[in-house]
Amino acid sequence: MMQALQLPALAGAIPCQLQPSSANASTALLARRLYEARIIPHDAPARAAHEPLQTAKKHLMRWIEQQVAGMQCLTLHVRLVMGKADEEFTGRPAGQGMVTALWSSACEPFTVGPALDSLEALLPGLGQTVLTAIDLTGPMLVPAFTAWDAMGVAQEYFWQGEPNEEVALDEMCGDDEAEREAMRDGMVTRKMVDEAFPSWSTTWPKRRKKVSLRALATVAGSARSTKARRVADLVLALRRLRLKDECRPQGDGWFIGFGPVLMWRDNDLTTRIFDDFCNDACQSETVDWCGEHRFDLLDESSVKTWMALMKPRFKGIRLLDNLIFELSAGDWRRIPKGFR
Amino acid sequence: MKVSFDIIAGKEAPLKLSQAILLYEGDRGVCFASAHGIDASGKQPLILEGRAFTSEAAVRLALELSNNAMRGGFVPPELLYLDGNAMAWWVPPARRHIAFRSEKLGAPERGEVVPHPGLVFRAEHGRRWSVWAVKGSERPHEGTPLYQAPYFNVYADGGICTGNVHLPDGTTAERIKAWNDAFFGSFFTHPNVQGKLVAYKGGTFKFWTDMLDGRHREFPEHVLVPSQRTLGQMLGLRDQA
Repeated sequence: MMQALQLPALAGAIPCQLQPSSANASTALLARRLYEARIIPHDAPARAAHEPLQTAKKHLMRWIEQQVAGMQCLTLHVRLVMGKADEEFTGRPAGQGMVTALWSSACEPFTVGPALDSLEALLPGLGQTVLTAIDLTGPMLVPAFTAWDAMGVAQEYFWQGEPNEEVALDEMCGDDEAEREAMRDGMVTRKMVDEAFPSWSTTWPKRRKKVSLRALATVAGSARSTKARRVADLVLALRRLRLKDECRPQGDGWFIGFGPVLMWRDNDLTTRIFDDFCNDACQSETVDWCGEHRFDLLDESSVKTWMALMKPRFKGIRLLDNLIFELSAGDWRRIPKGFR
Repeated sequence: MKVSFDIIAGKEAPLKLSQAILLYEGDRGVCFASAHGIDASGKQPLILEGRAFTSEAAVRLALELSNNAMRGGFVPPELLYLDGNAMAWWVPPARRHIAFRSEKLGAPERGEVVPHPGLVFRAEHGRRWSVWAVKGSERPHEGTPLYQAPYFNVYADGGICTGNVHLPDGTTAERIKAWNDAFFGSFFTHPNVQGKLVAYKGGTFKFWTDMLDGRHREFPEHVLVPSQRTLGQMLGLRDQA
């Protein structure tokens, strides 16, 4: 039977690719704007650019890699959502040239407690300053889930907005002491949170005791520990970024776009609280990306504006990545104390 | 450095010609099919040598084209419900091994064979995985009341905290055993319920300590906490109570 089978040829009119004309037009427009912004170099061979989507992808990837070169521990995803996909994603009408540029980070745990404790011992307020930089700058770059978030989630979700579990226990068990204790046994309690984190780490970041910029510069310049010098340097660089809060994610729903989950000790309470929070949040709509910017390619300056917005953010993401890497790597209990 | 970049153009993205399926008909309809790759490197696409297109490959293709909405094959008795990417199944009450990593149970790691209640699992491909308990040993039906599964790492809504558990691929009936193994083969570490996990004097840890110590020859169903939902409601077949 098989010998009777012969391979037929495809008729010449059968295309190798189906490409809606509107997609062609919008990706060609993107490639043009990238060319004008010199992301696609002006000496790029025309023959290699016959497919605008792939060409745009290749050159933008190269540009992003250049911006974040030196990242060590975080995983960054950047996406451009275009045309019809943009309309579906944003729920807003999208013309031919509408693009939403998003970035997100994979959720990964890091242990930073020993580092922050050592920095605090080196100079009172230094550990708090470093954590505050992560708490306050992170949301504009890649938000980290920290001890402060863990306390916030515990209060809001587990303890009915109260500072501890007593009101929640009143509601569930009334005055039955035996039942209260049995129930408390299985809960995240205030005692567990207090034992897991130093009190300053769960305090509102702006209320923590912090060291001055001058003191940070002194640590960066003359601490005996190389790791402490490097951390202070990175915090100073983050403080110099002067980012505005203009790329916040615009989706509806609970924000779960955290990248690093910062544990104080390995496998401590942070991941349990974070997992519980994400599970609850996922019952309804969620926002799982870190930042976004929407633009219209019909505007000639749109891509250049996006690049100008992203350049300091990519730099900040690299600095934050290096800071978390520095805090979570090596043996912080053995760093040299004092200053040179 | 781990960086990825993508451009999502939705349904407008180009679709590439990748394969051809050739059908051969006889007097009694299609009796042979072959699947062929395409060489698109030349001026005209070329159909390459193919291989027999098996019925399994045809089913896989049909599933892909219909977004996994169609299923077929033998139905095992424990399968309760199948809909698109979601599947629900029953695990009858039995003695099974369970292992804990929780100092509050008397040792860093502890595992024993203990009686378990009947369970209903629900898995959605690539999404949530949930479990509830049911009373008795009858196969559950739409009106069967569900109870909070009495296990650590299970949320009040039935969701299973997967942690580092490697979830099985697929939600077809033949994967039920793999899902069961993934659940019972994992370590249970802590309660994920802020309310009552079991109605037991002394609480959750006392209950599992007693279970591991062999104090209950059968699973004490009176400790199960009602979820206020029936199987039908959980599956979205009726309005919630």
